Amino acid sequence: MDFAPHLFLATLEGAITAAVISLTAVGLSLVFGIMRVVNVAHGEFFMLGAVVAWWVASTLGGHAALGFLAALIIAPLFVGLMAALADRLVLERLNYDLERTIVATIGLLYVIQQVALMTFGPDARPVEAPFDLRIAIPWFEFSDTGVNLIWPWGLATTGYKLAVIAAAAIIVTSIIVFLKRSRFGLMMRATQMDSEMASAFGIPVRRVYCVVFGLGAALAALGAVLIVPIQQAHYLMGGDPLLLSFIVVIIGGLGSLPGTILAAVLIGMSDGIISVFFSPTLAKILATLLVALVLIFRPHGLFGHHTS
Amino acid sequence: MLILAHQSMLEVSNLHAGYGKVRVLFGLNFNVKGGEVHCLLGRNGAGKSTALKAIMGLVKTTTGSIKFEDSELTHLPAHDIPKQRIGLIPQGRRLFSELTVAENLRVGLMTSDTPERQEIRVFELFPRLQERLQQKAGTLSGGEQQMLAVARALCLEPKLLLLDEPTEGLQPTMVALITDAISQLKNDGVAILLVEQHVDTVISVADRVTFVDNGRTVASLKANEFEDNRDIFSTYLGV
Ligand SMILES: Nc1ncnc2c1ncn2[C@@H]1O[C@H](COP(=O)(O)OP(=O)(O)OP(=O)(O)O)[C@@H](O)[C@H]1O
Ligand SMILES: [Mg+2]
Repeated sequence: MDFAPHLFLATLEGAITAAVISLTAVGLSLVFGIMRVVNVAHGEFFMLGAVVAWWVASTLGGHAALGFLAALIIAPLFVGLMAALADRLVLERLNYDLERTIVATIGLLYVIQQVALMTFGPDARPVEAPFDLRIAIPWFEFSDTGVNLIWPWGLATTGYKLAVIAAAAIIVTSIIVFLKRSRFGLMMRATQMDSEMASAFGIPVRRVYCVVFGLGAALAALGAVLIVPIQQAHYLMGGDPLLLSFIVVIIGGLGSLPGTILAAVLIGMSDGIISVFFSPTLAKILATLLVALVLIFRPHGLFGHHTS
Repeated sequence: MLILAHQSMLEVSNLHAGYGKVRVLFGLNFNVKGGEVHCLLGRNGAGKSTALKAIMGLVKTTTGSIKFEDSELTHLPAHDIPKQRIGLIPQGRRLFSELTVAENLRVGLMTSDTPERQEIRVFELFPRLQERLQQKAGTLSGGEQQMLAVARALCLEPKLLLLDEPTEGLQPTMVALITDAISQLKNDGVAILLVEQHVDTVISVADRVTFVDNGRTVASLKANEFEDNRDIFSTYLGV
């Protein structure tokens, strides 16, 4: 295959990474922006989503689409409820103190990971995609007779991968609309700006925190359910999405949602492309380097703005 | 609604409160009667703002009681206190600065049973806000921000309004506008607890004054006693 179609394929892989990372990073960003909690266990909520998706799909059996659809609803719901429970049992008791919640979520990371290892086991397990559709991609070739349409061997994708990208775009857009238009979204934004004044105007801040922590985890789980037909579920799979989400949230500007989404596309795309042409490790090294540069030269993020 | 002018609406007794280990109030006593303007006066750091925050449940009361009508506020979670129809206009305004004017008002209207009516009333009082609904609160002028802070609290349809230095940093015409609004609210039957540094403003609007020093009540005066006790004002304000 020539370079150009190869690059096109790599970009498509990057777009899938971007799609999943934008979901996990938006979850992390909401939790940090509104609650001022750095959730180190975020990647484990992602992993838990994938594991529960496998469990649901394999328990139900039957047609792949049925199992997948059930997983798409049950896994984020279950993970969101677990996170809400963790908020009530742990974070609320620590009064959402910035430092103590970091330590607590590190603890949570190991608890979730070890419980997954003990119940799910150390093996990677696949979830079947809901539909199987192979799409060959045409390419252009210039010759003496003009432009020819050709079908290079290997230049193809699956309908499912395109669906993942579309689904992520729809979910992220819905979150933005929900924040902007709904009553609860207004409560979340007011709490983010000044939690004391929010409660002076009748907003139940603790309840908002509980829902936000659950929502953040559910978004990570949703990303995991979408990716698990492509990548398989494994109890250690939470590391990469955690690292990439942190990178994205820092580059996008802490707590800034539009910045987070833009940075997710940027980092996801370059991660995908560099992984295909060079190696996934190099992609992570470069992204981490970019974070260091951003922290030095633009501590409020590329798209963030100064708020004290 | 019948306002019983001489019955106390808010009763603060032996209030002790503070921030964690930092103790600020050591036995504060005062009450606010229905339909009156009651001022808290005292030096910087005396604990006036802390007293208002304690009423709103934003700082923890360690001893003492805060009774509003028939309920003990110290037993309620903070977010239930505005539902008793107590509105706060905090020091420094504390608007949701990245939210628009309309959204700030919507936050105020969240606990209201009659949001449409409250909105109309607020725009009657401050028509200027209606022209700036889609502007971010943080980009308003200082005077407009103060109007919005008052408007946001009025959205709760308060029976009791807590105002913390509403004229701080405003030019004389804006100060007059705010004091007019206070008088108008008083005429509508809203009880007002006002923290204010301008003695002239206090004397022109207050029915009673409680002096606070080092977190304690040290004196209190009724309107007809102000003239003969100018020295008390200077002692506790250092003017
Ligand atoms: N969040 C806080 N944490 C710790 N101490 C505080 C906090 N807020 C206020 N204080 C302290 O409580 C004391 C009383 O403060 P408060 O704001 O109630 O004073 P004030 O009477 O309103 O003064 P001013 O006229 O300057 O507004 C001060 O010594 C202040 O330093
Ligand atoms: Mg004060």
